[in-house]
Amino acid sequence: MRTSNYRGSRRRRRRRRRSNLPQLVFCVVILLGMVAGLYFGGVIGKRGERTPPNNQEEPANTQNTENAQNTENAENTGTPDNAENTEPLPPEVTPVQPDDYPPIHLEGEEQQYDAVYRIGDTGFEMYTYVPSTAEKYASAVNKAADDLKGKAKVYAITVPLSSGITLPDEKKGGIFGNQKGAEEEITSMLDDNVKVIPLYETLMHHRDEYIYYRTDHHWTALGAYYGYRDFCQAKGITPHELSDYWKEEFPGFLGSFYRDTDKNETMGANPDVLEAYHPVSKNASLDFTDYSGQTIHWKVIFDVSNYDADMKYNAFVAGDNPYTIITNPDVTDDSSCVVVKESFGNALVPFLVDHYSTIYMLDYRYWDGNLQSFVKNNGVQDVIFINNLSAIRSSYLIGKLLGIV
Amino acid sequence: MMKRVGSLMLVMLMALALVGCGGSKNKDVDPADLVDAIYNTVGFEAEMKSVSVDNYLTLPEGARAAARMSNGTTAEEIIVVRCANEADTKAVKEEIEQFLADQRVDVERYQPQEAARMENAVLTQRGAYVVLCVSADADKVQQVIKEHLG
Repeated sequence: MRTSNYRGSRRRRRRRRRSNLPQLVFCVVILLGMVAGLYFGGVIGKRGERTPPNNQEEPANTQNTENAQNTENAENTGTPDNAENTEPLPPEVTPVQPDDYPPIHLEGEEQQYDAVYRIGDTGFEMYTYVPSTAEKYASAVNKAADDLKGKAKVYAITVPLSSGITLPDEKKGGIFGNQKGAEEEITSMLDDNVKVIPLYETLMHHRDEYIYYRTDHHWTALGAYYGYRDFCQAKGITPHELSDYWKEEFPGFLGSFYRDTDKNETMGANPDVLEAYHPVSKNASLDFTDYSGQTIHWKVIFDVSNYDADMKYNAFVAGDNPYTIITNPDVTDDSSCVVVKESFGNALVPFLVDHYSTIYMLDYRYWDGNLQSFVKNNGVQDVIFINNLSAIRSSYLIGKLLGIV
Repeated sequence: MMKRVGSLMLVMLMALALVGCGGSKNKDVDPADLVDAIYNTVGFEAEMKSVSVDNYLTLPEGARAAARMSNGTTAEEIIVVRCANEADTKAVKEEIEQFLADQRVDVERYQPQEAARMENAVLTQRGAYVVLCVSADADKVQQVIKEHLG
């Protein structure tokens, strides 16, 4: 028989059950709140990875870590350390036939540095083709050509590096990339209204000549001369013969590779000779605008005998300036061109002086105008992009180029 | 009954507060505003013009970005990228690291006097933001970033 006590105990049991409920709800809600907080804070789940706190305060590590690792691995083994190439190598349309080109033999101690490989007294820049920047380069040139259609002819001269031309065949590929294939990929992306002047084949046929410096990343004036001849063929004009020019020599040139190889003794003992070919016309004059906006009168080829060893390349067209203008009163047809360049263009422009009344040089790294407006406002007939493969793979430089078109 | 309702409401309020605390540290700062804040606070030697980040970087979908770069006389620059989600920041940071490596090659060859400035570049990630700044005052840059992004 159930008593009042039983009923009371039932009430008490019900009260105990009821009294547990708020605490249970409290715990569940707190737990849910914590889980939600952790999830939306990106600490757990698909929305984020935990960010190591140390990473947030460090300045950028600007060192090329992949090449640094390769430097550690190479250590005078005499064999290039073939770094893993994360980008697919562009295909070679035409197989390389070494018998068609002059043979190259190079001997000496081999050593790999950050971005340079040395064989004896000769440096070679390592190269990787970067499809994304190549596409951006092509888009910049194509945009200029489209915007200038009917107003100016656009030419694109792509210049391989010494590591694509004068490096011995058995060492090509790997850390030096496939520059023949790269050039083909790049030029294939240029539209039909761009007159393309690839230089790989031409330079390969002259690769046993002094067309690249050993201690510097640039091509020589002789290498640029062969580029000039190909430009003349594309434009349909007759180039001067090399013998037409007065050649001046400036010995003792130790360029960028000398610095990049920690001033290697072997390289230092055999510096380059900078050869410069003066325009046939004796009346051309040059003025450049420097970084401060000052306009300075200068010479197409300047005597750099007294310049420091690493500054000799400034013999050509006053070096790298935002804006340079060369006028030649001996050319009376009012012809003009704009050369859009980084420093490889400097060695080629002196050969153009005899063919244009006015040459405008725009170093897109430092000039911040608009190319198409400049061409239209100055009535320019030809736009000549002269860009080396190392620049075309640089997101920094191609970004600068895109900024002026 | 009222006590229980009140307790329950208090508990729910606490739970909501926890959710709020667990959310992203960043307010929604417009990248252009942060670029301008850095530009106006930190001194820059060169004229710094607004540029399109797309010229330099390939950004993930949904990312917003702003940048100012030197007119070429120095290596100074400011880039701010706000990713759609924090998971994208790793790829963006790697892209910027490669950009800096490319810039360094050119600077060392043609503007060696700027190499030291690049050594002190600030490259940092805060939540969904990645910020790069090459300037003469890395400390001040870090301070501005902290004020805006936490």
